Amino acid sequence: MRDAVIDRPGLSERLSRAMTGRESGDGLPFRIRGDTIKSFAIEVNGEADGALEDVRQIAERHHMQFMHTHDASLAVVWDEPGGLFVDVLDPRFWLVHTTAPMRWARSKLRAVVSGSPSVDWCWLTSRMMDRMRLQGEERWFKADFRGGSLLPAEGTKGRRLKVQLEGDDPLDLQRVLRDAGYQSSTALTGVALTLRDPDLGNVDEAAYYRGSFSGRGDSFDLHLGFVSQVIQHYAAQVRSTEDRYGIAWKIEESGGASLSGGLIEVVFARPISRMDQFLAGLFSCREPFRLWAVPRPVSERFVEAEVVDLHVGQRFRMDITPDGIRIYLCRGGCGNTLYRLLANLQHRFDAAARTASEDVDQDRFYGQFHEDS
Amino acid sequence: MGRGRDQASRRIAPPDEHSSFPSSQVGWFVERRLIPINAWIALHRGEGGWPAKLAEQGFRIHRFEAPVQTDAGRVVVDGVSVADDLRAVIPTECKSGQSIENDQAERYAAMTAGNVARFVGLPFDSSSAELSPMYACLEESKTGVVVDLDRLKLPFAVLSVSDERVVLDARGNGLVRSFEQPVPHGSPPRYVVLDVDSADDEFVEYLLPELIASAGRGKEYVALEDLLKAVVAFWEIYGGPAKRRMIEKARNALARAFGRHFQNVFQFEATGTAGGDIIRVINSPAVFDPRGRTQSWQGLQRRASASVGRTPPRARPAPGQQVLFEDLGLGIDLGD
Repeated sequence: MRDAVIDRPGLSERLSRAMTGRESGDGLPFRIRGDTIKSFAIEVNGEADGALEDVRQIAERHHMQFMHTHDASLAVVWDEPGGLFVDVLDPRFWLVHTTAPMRWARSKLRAVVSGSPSVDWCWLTSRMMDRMRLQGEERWFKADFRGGSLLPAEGTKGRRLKVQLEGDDPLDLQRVLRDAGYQSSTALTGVALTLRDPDLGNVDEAAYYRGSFSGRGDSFDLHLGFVSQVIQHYAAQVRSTEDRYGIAWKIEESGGASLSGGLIEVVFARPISRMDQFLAGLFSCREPFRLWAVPRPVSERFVEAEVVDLHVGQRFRMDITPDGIRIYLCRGGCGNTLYRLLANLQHRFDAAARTASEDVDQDRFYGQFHEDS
Repeated sequence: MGRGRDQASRRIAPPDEHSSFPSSQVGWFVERRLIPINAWIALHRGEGGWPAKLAEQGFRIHRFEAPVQTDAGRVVVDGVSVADDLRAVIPTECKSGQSIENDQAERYAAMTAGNVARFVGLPFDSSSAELSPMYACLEESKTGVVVDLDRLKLPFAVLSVSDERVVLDARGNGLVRSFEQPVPHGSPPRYVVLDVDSADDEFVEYLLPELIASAGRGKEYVALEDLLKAVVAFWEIYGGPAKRRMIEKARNALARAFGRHFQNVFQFEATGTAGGDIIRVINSPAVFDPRGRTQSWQGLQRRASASVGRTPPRARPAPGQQVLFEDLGLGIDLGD
């Protein structure tokens, strides 16, 4: 079989049927099972000739089968337990859909992400998660804050906080926690909503900050619309950050040099109290930060670092103070690095950490796509 | 940019008795020689908590390292700023030492807006533009700079920077207004970190991470010049002799570090047309089995730390009470 007999409308129809238990996967090389659609957003800085070729090569490396479809930006990848529909309409920000068990799909993608410097998750910041809630009726929220590696055991309020609440107005609990002084530990890890559309039906939608989504209900289109909007917003943020803040020195034809780009500032609501622990945790080379550095402490209140993002093999500069960090991305560097850092700082050090730089992790992109949709 | 090596300008911050850093680790500042140019940039851009005091007066950065021919001779201006509304031009010389070079100062004195327009362009008509030079220096050097300028009867503005404040003394420069402003603790945003006068050790500090990044991308061979291009702000603008000097410094410094701390990891290629300027990555954790990769990167971190005379920060493990809960079968679900 050279191509899977499926195109984009066909995928939508089949996955909508799967959501209502009426699809078995006839004509596909794997069974469609389950009524929940899982979607993952990954960022791929491809090197091969076209995104589909990247998909093929990645599948091959991970011992999976690859198949084209009747759509030029859609591929099918599978092995024995199940299959993935890989949507590369945006050749850099891919959406991967499946009805296979979450555990299987996540382990496959985790292997891809950890095994390749060109593939990363899309890391949704607290602000992005927060804005997502406006798209439907809130049903559920989850905070999972793990400060063990960056925060000292003594003298820290809310070093580990995990709560999960389902029901009407779940965000009330988030407000209670914040008002009680736990704003720096109340990470917005996951949200669940009910999406309603008079034409398409209803979908219960859950989103996790590491760019994964799960939808159950009447319509794959409704699920896809929600996921696409979030990831379009994310992609716009990453690209804007790279364009505006990537630092470059340019030789001017008329003589001399000019500087473009600039530093990005992240401001903490919870100051760093133990700089040595913060540095040891941040630069441990381990997941989720995967940062390498030999920091130069000027004093307890100011540290310089030339940092290597081991995930993508790129260097950037960082100045660290108790109240925040300055980040210097190189032109041509990957903006995803910044969002991975910010989203994970919000889950490991200070849930209230925010950027103070214009157009970085801001709402206006969201509005732009909301209006377009 | 304040040519002339100034070893004494590097300093160790005084140890803080409450610091959790060993005093031997309270380390090197970005070269103080380069503080004035970075402060000058910050005052135009207002980043990192630094006040945009020059931008508030209408100035923006026009050029760095601008070669300008005057009637008194050629000078490479460290930074040129312009105010479009005022049609004003301020060429700035950033000094590290206590004194100024007379010939260079005379060239600044002879400079006109027309000279700048001719050699690096201006965004407005130079015929009606005004120009007045400025010197930028560390606060401890200000007295010497002012004495020299007075001796030469040059009314240039003087911008001085310390760890606590930045002061602009307009003196006879009618295009800017004086100010004194506190600045945040630490260096100004570090855009310029290496130049031709940087110490050998500084090359290791900045080039090694770039090399590690290349190893992280799985590269087997890395050109020394590519490392320098990535890190040295004005690399492309430097002439051949300056580039050769920097390559030599970088090669010597890295070769020492490789010999002492990175045997079987990095080495200079001994042969070939660019012999000595190509680094071979012999062992990169990027190609190791994923299960041991993190430990291998940490190993490189320890080697790099040793090569720059520091130890990596380590924190006492503090797992909290989670383990106790787990022993009771009440473990918090770790999820992903």
